[in-house]
Amino acid sequence: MARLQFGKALKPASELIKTHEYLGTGLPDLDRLLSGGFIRGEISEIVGAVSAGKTSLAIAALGQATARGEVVAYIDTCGIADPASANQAGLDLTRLLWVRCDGSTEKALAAADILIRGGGFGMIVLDLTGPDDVQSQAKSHSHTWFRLKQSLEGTRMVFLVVNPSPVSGGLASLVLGLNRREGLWEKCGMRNAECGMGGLRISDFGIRNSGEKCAVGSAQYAVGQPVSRSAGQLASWSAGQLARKPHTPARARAALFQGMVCEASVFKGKSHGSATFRCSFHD
Amino acid sequence: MGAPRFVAVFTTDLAALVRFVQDLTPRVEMYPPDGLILEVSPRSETTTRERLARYRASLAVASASTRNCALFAARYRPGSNVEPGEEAVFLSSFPLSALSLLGPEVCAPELLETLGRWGIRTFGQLVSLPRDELKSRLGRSGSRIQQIAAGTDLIPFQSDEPETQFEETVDFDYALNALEPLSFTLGSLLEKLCGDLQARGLAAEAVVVELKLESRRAYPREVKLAVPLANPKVLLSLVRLDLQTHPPSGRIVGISVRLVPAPPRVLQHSLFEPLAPAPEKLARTLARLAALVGEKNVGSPVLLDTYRSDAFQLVPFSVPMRKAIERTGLTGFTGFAFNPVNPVNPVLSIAFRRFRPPVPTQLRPDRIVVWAGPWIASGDWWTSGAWAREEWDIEFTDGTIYKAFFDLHRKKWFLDGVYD
Repeated sequence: MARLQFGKALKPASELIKTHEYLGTGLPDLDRLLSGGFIRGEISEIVGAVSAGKTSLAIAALGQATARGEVVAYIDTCGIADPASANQAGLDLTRLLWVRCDGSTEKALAAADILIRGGGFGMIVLDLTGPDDVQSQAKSHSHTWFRLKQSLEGTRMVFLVVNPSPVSGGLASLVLGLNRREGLWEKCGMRNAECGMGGLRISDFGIRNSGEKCAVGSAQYAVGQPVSRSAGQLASWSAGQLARKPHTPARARAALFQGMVCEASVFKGKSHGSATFRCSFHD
Repeated sequence: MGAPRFVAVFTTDLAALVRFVQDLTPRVEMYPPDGLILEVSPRSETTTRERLARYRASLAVASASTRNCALFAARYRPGSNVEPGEEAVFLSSFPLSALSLLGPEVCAPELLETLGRWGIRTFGQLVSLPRDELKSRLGRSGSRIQQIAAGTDLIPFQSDEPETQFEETVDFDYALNALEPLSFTLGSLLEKLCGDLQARGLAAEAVVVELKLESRRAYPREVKLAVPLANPKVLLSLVRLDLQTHPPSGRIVGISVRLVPAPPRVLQHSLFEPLAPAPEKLARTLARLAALVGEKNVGSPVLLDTYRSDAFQLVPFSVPMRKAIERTGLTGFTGFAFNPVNPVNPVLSIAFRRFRPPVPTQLRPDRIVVWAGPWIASGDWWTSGAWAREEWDIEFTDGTIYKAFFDLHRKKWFLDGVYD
């Protein structure tokens, strides 16, 4: 009996709670969703279509790391990173090691292996976004992903993979899916509606008979009349606000592209749910 | 042992003389453009002068117990040997103009002109002037040149330490056609050179390797280090990686290794130091990455001061010295613009993914949902690389938001990149 009681006081190693360190994204809602941020010492993935905010989120996380004094690395498979926008996002370029791989997935994965084994980096982003063959090659290297995961264990590095779809074969501890809910476009004035590539007309929006009027916000417009910004209307104008004709895209001339609203959902991880955040331009 | 003696030498080939005298004595003071002074013991003075005479008979050599007296003697009466205590007598007949040998900082031309007007023509006449009255009329500089004219040293002898070369050369008995057997020799050379560096409290900021090939050509390679190191194993792995990436074109018959010395970087670590790569590991990591993707594809981007949007330069990566994390008060980390309406929920800065080179395109209006622009940008109009374009932000039906531009010179549309 005494032996049993003593045995119950001991827990097997598999039941020990593993504690993690996190690197926050800087977005409180998203950090709450992720229980603190991106996990150090594990593979994390950000997936989503183009213009869903993946790169913006990755650059923001890198900026968080450099603001803490850490050095970071960006493995750019297809050489499409833009240092100017990264600098505007607050990323300290002097603490960034940029590795360009000329479109080779194998070189990108090998570079990741070298950086993880070298150690000392607070965060490594592996950007695999590119042509389809880049992604299909990445998925086929299952042994490499396993080796990367093993090399990361016990380190304090955040390893973030950016790709349209998951590639690590289930070895990632976190898969965060991004989706763009809407683009933010500032409406343009009537004077410019007819220039350039053409203006938005009410005829594009399901008006059947000439002479019929349509409302946009609080303003009334006739068929064929270019849509203009009403006095006092400063709200952002979503392209989907008006009812479009079938098979006719709603072409709209805007004054300014302001940014986008994105939604992040946890596809794989400890928590569930989604969070919304905005991406916009900074001066 | 006795007080040291000074041997001054003037020559037309100073560089060759410097190499020769390093075997005579380590105490050498350069006196450019054509002279030097050796400090020797009284016992070795005769030997030194004999060896100098055998080296080149045309050298102007003289020795004395003071540095200045040796200089004057070598310049104006070569071959002299001034005994201790006889400096003033030896120099008494020297013309006053000889003081210009020491340079205008020591003896200003105006001072010599004034003394000339007084009728002072020789060192002896200058020394015979009453010291206090000379000082009251010409100041401290007058008193100084009077002491110099008497043969006194006001500036002590300062030995110029010769620049130590950390270089070793080995010739092989037979030609090597692989890098593996070379590594053994390279490793032992680096071990010795690193030991020499560490003994002087130095590290290496670059390794210069020159391979002698069988074709009698030299094959030089230079490996620059992000951080000065004196670890022979790390240096060996870096040089090996470099030679594997850039192998020589022939068989190797000899090798010369030189380390470029630099003060080691002193790092004081603290318990709260943020994560950073160790210098040795970082050097190896960077070398491996360069071998994998090429040197031009690894580094830190530096933005250039121009309006061209994709203007940057890739520089070698090195860990910046740690600085205190700046606190920016209300805005927190500088990467985010806080929404003034809702300061709790910051807004990310939108990132751009740039196509290199820009992709030529023909815009189809039926694929366009929303667009904004144009913004006209131009630059470098004063050079042959002038550029001018109209930039547009466009959302396509597939949901992608591009930045496109119309090149005003080429009259074509291009896709510059995508917002993500």
